[in-house]
Amino acid sequence: MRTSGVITLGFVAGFSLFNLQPYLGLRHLSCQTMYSGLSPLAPGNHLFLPRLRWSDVGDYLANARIGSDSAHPYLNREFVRWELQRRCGSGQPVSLDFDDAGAARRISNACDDPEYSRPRHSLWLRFAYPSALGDSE
Amino acid sequence: MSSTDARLVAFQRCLRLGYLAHFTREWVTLRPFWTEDFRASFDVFGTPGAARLALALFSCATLAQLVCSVLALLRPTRGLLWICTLGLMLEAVVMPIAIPNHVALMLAALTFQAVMLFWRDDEPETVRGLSAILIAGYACAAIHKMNHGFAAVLDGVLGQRLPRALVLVLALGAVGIELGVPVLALLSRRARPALLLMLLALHFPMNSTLGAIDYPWIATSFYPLFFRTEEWKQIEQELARWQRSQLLAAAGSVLLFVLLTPRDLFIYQAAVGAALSSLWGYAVPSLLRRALPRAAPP
Repeated sequence: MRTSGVITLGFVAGFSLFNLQPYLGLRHLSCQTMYSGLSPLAPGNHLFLPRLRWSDVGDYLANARIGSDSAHPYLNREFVRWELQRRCGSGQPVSLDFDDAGAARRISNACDDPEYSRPRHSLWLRFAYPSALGDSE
Repeated sequence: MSSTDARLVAFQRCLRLGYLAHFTREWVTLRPFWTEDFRASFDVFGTPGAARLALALFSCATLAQLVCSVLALLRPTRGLLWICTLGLMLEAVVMPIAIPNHVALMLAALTFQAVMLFWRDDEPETVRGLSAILIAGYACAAIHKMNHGFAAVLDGVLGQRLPRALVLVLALGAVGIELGVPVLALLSRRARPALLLMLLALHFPMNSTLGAIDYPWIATSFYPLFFRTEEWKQIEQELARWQRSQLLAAAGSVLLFVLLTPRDLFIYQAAVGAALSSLWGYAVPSLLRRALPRAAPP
């Protein structure tokens, strides 16, 4: 095969793999997922492809609200940690509401819970995981 | 030096319009670049210094692309394509949001084109590869839609007015079209015009009803690449004649856009969407003549 053909094959294979990242647990947006209804919540809702999970960096909280903000359909868990850490710096309690396994859950002062207020990953992961998904624009 | 393949020149020009559509939707309509909120969105970069640097780089990247896109519409030289390619890469790195789907598609196409044209100088392979990238993008979009939630999304988009069975049929149709039609359009010379019309019909409501003016235009920019060189030259000659049928189809397309577009769509976005619809409509008679071989040639 000519060099140009190999380059083409490599690009097309690379682009396809990039787009299949939702199932590798690596990324959700940027992968041609627009208007697909593909769920960012584990274990996923695809008919036949599983959604792998390497860490909680790609996890989303459903119907989530920080403090008195309006609720978002999906908020990235790591974004919530960064945002709560920032707001908790003022010393005031900050509440967190979200749906947990179908039931509404409320944490009155999420600043006391390191699970929700201590970032665990690099901020640069925002390129893979946007803060919120499904907001109307 | 410009590309010599007319299909590539058409693709490059259309993709520049695609960038302008992207800029209008992302940075004028959804996140107006002149607002305080937009500047504040760069706070995601952490320190104030990093946020200022990201904003400065973003401004340079978008300004360079806007200027070069307008120039490239007139004559898409390789220098301009370089600037647009590097500009989009920089914009993708410093934009204050996750990279949108249409930017990922545009980035893949521009990067591949840069490698093939500037390093390999292989126009025929560039055309083949760009077509394959679009087909891969469509196929992945179809695979993502094979889930338990797509029918509900489609139902919502259609205003929850249609019976469930019809929504399911439309959902299956959308998946089938994205998965099969682009491949068939590339392989079958005879069916190509009709299949591309089918894809245009799929994209039309995205541009109008959904107000997503960027992705449909960027995707349809690849369509000239599906034709053989001589076929595309014929189509270009027809498009250059300003025939009444083409003007009427363009006007009809804009009318349909107005009918299908929500009244509250931001005016700049609506104007760009209407312009894109008119260009699609203008090309429809040429495709129809080829899809209906018994019709008289112009």
